[in-house]
Order: sequence, then C-alpha cells, then structure tokens
Amino acid sequence: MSVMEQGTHSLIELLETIADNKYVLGDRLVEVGVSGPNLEATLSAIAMAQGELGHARLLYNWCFDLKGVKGKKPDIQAQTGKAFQTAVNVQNWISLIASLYAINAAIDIVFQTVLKTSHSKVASRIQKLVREQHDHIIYAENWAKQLLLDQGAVPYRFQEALREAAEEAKAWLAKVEKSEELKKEGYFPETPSFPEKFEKRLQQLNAEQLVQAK
Amino acid sequence: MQKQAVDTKKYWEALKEVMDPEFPISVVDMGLIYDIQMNDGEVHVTMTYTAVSCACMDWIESDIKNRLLAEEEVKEVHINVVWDPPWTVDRLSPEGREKLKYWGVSAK
Repeated sequence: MSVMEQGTHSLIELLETIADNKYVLGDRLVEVGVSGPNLEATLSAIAMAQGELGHARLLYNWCFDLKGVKGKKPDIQAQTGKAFQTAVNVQNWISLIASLYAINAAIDIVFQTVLKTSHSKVASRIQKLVREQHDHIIYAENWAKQLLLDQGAVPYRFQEALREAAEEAKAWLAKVEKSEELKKEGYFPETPSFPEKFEKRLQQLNAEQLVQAK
Repeated sequence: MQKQAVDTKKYWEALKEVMDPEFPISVVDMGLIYDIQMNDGEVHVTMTYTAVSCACMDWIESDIKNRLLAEEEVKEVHINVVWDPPWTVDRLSPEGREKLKYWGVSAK
C-alpha cells in the first residue's frame, strides 16, 4: 500500500469512527431522549438526533467518496462497528448526556485541529458540521452541570457515567494521535496533544468539585 | 473546442419557483444556490443547505432537477452540494427575509 493510500485508509478509519458514534448518538437521542426529563429536553434531543444523523450521513458519504464509490451513495443501514461501547450502551438520560458530551467534545478537539491545517478541502467539508456540533456540546454541557447539581444519587451516577464515556473517548484520542499516516498527510501536527486538550475541557465541567459540594 | 459560458439568469429565475419545503420561500431567496453554470445542455448547480442534517435534501434536489429539466435546452442537471461557505441567515435575500418576517420567523 502506498503512503498516499495508507493516509486515505487512516482518514477513512477516523471518519468512520466519528460517523459511527454520531449514528449511534442519533439513535440513542431518539430512543432515550423521547422520554427526557421535560418537554424542552425531549424536543431538543429529537432535534439533535436529526443533527447527529445528518453529520453521520455527511461523513459516511465522504468515506464513500474516498473509497471511490461513484454515483448514488449506498443507503446506510447500520454503523460499521467502530462506535464507542459506552454510546452503544446508553439506556437512560444520565448516560445519554455523558456520552453526548464526551464524544462530541472529543470529536470537536480533532476537527478543530484539522481546521487549522492547510487541508482546505477537508476543512470545507466539516466547517458547517463543527458549527452545528458546537450547539450540541453547549446543550450537553449545560445538562451535565444540571445533573451534577441534582438531588440524591443523580450527581454520583452522572459522574460515573461521564468517567466511563470520557475514558473511552480519551483512549480513542490517544490512538488517533499516534497515527503516523494522518500526521504524514498533514491532518495533524506532530504532537496534537488530543488527550491533554480533552482532559482540560473535562476539567472545565468541574464535576468533582460540584459533586463534593453537594 | 472551448465551451462557451451561457448566461444563467433564466435558470436563477426558474429556481425562484422551487420552494423550500419548510418555508414558502424559494431556494434562491433562501440563499441555498451558490452558482449555476450551463455548458452544452448540462446545468451544474452548486448549492448548500441550511443544516447538514436537512431532512429535505433529496426532495429539494429532485425539485431543482425537475424544474431545470423543464427548460427545453437542458438535457442534464448536476448538483454539487458544498458546505463552504457555510449557510447563515446572512445569505437570505431581502425578499426571503421579508417573507420570514411575515410568517413570524426570526432571521437575525
């Protein structure tokens, strides 16, 4: 396999992982979000489900282009198996918000780095997605803070769900950062520090302090 | 032989008849159409959507194709969807803005 082919293969792997997670998040936002804590939360969850599924469609179609698929793109019936297990296992509002926040925050860190590179064609594909995703992150972040300040076992359960989701997302970021092919192709700088940036963003949530203060 | 660029004003006008399925505003006034080129009976439309997750993409593209194919000289329509520059409300035409205002939709 040539260097160029390896780079394309790695890019497809990256995009499919992101698409799979968005596909699963979209599905979970409908299944779990439909019985959200209040009407506003439910309506927002359904709207965001459409957003996440739209992002997944964009990324899958991009992968089809990279794979050389011509003409009408195939229908997407299922994820390719790269979605995080914590996202697949989302069964309630607490784990939904934890996954929505952790996954989109991790994806945002990767895409923000790619946007700063000279890959203008790549940047033009994701610009709109990144803008829309920002709204999803704000929503999840505000719900996260609300859950951390909730009553009874909720703050602890959320903290635990977030820890699990964040652990998986951070491990993925560390793996992505090691991809020599993506660096060689100029998608990332030599040391993008993805896990560190992710950790920093999580700290902004102040989860531990909020729970301890309860 | 070098292809001659054709005045595309009539196609812009034609697409003013294609409505966004969610609002009674044409795709032109919504600012979704970025460019139209015509060469040897083939019309190339460069366009965007208000959101990546727009649920009406196939519907809108089909309406655009059908309307342009109604022009006698048009044999094929190719649609290229782009996300850069990203759509914002700034792309609404003054007419589109007025219509949204009439329907009580904020365009700020």
